[in-house]
Amino acid sequence: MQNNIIQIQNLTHYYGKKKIYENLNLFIKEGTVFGILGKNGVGKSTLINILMGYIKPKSGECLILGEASHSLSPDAKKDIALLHEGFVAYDYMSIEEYEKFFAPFYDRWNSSIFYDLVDLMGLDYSQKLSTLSFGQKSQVVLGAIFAQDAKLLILDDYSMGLDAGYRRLFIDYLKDYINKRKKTVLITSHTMNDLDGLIDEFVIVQKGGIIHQDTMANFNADKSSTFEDKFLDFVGKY
Amino acid sequence: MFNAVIKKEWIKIKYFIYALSLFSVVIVSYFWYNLNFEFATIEPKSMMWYRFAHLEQKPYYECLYFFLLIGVVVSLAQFIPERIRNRIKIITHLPLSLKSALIIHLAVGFVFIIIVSSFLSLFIISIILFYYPIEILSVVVKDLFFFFLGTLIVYLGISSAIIDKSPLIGGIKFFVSILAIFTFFKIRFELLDLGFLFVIVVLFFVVLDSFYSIKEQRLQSNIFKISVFVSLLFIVFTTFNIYQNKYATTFSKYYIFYSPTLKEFVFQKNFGDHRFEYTSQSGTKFDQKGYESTLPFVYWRDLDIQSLLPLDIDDEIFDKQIIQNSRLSFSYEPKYLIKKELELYPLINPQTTLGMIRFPSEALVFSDTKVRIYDSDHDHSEEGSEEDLNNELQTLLKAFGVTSPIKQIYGKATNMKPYDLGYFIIDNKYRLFNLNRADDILNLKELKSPDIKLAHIEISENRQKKLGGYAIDEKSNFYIIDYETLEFKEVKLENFDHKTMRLQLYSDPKYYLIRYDDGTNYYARVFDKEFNFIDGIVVQ
Repeated sequence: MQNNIIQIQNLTHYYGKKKIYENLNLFIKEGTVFGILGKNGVGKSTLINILMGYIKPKSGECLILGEASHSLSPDAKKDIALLHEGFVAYDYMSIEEYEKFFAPFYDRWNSSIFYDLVDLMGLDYSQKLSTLSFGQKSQVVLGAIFAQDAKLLILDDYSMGLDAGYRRLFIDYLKDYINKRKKTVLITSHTMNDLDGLIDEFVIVQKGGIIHQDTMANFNADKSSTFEDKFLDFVGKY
Repeated sequence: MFNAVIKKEWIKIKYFIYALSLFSVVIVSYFWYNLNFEFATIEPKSMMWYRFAHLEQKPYYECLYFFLLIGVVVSLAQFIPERIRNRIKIITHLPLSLKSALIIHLAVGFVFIIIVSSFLSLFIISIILFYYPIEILSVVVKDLFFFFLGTLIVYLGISSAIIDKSPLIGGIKFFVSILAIFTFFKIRFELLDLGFLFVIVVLFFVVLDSFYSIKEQRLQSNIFKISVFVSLLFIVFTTFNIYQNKYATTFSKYYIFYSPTLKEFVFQKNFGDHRFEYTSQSGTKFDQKGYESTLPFVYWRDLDIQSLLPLDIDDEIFDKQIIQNSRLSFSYEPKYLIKKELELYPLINPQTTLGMIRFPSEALVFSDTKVRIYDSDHDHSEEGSEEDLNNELQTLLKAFGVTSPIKQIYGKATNMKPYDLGYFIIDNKYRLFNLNRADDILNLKELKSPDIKLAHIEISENRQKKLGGYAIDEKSNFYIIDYETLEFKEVKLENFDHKTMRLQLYSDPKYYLIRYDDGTNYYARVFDKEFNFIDGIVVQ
């Protein structure tokens, strides 16, 4: 039986009087690629921030790897590779310095994974992150995420600011990465097309909470329309 | 991991550290240039030593601003980019406990601060030692140590304000840190100021509280809350003390005098805002003019202008000259008990062939182990008078068995006086000596003082040559010192407490008046010219 890597129980959160989530229950099993889908501004990142302890919910409980999400032990943090929304990174470092900074913190750090992704773009290692295009920088950041060889990857809005080419590059790399390793992935996105064929399960989030939870297999059983069209049926086109 | 963080922080703030280092070179150069100019133009150079020891003019004092700037810059450079770009989240997600992650980052900041501060301090010390006697070293090191503590407080305080997730709490932390910094703008640091070490420890936890706030947590420990409260009390107390020392005005509720015509005390009651009431001891009320008429020795100038001098009181004639020559005043305040940071005294050397006393180039310096004379104009590469003078001094000290460390030194360290009585020295065995120099000859003699432990001596070289000053012992007994014999004569002052009361002694042609008060009780005692008690009063 698969363990729950993430457990969210009776989660309720408000911004002032604005309801974001109410009594949300979500369980993500080990080895699952789980998508949190929804338009911009509906609370996807809020959920990730709650999950990582950056926002305190009004009530409810979040466990990651069996630990309370707001007080994760250093060992638990080693097993959670977290992509912060907006590809937050140390822009003042060079690619090489960036890799060398993170490497000592992770026992299973794999430099070759990092440099594989960097090499796909043909970048000079001595280049500062601040001099890279946003797309190039995103790949360096993702390289550092993958190199951690963590059990759980949390990728908050990986597609933000990326053009179709970089999104494709990333998704292909991610698919390849998780095919070779048993990883759990929690990914949020407002771009649906990319995720078809990647995620196993998903929830669709709308203002006020989750409006639909399903497996991809079940969701795609109906072949009459595309994944994106079905998604838009739930959230509306505008 | 520590190395990784050091490298990361170095990459981020190295240009700021370069700039600070460069700026510190500029500051040190400017400091050196200024000090050199001062020493080159002042005559004699020992005047600069005197300014340091007696006027507390510390040439490096302005460097405090730069020390504080180091803390500000390192803090801003380290944490502002992390806060604005949200990189603080990366730090919180490093596989370390939150406390460890913060400690490593602050330790890196500390290392940078220590490097720049040490660089600056070493240069300042080297320059100072080039111009001042070595005994100044402990004072300079102490001051620079406290400057460094100020740097750490600024660094931690501003870091806590930047990191905190709540703008309100961050703002409060910033405000309190600024308040704490104001307490560093003092010329003299004392033992109590070591309390700032405690504040620094507490500030670390305040920063940790800010760091926790990123993950929606706060330090809940009662010990932390109590420590913050104690630190706040310490800061407020210190700030209040500074305010009092700098700006507090003294207020006398009563100005008590003894009327030679009424033979009773008269006093001016001060209600503040220039509102007064004039009364006599027996209850007679006066207007201002009537009051002044009871005190002809105080308002004698008016009488002189009105051609009402000389005065005939008790069949004695007092003309302008007699009144003028009889006037003398001494004062005492508890703050006189505070020891000097640097026991350096100009070695006054009056010459019988010169009308004025010149400010000497030689200075006596007392340390825990020895007494030494330095000559500011002496070229140390050559043998000469400084060594001879020191040999002369050491011979005298040995001959009289003076034991170090010297407990206290009293005397008027100025040449703006008609005569010089030298310095009064209490040695380690509480023996009292008088050391002076005249016509290039050093003189030392032991003085007979009552079997008392002296708390304070005030010396007065006045033209009357009758009173040489006063002394107060640890039991608050008051003594006047005979000018000729330097003997002590006790003058009974009821309820006088030298630790809390101020005192003034006034002389007129007929009486000595001694007033003392603690701000609540105002005492006055009047004596004849032989210090025989005549009358006393206490008013509240």
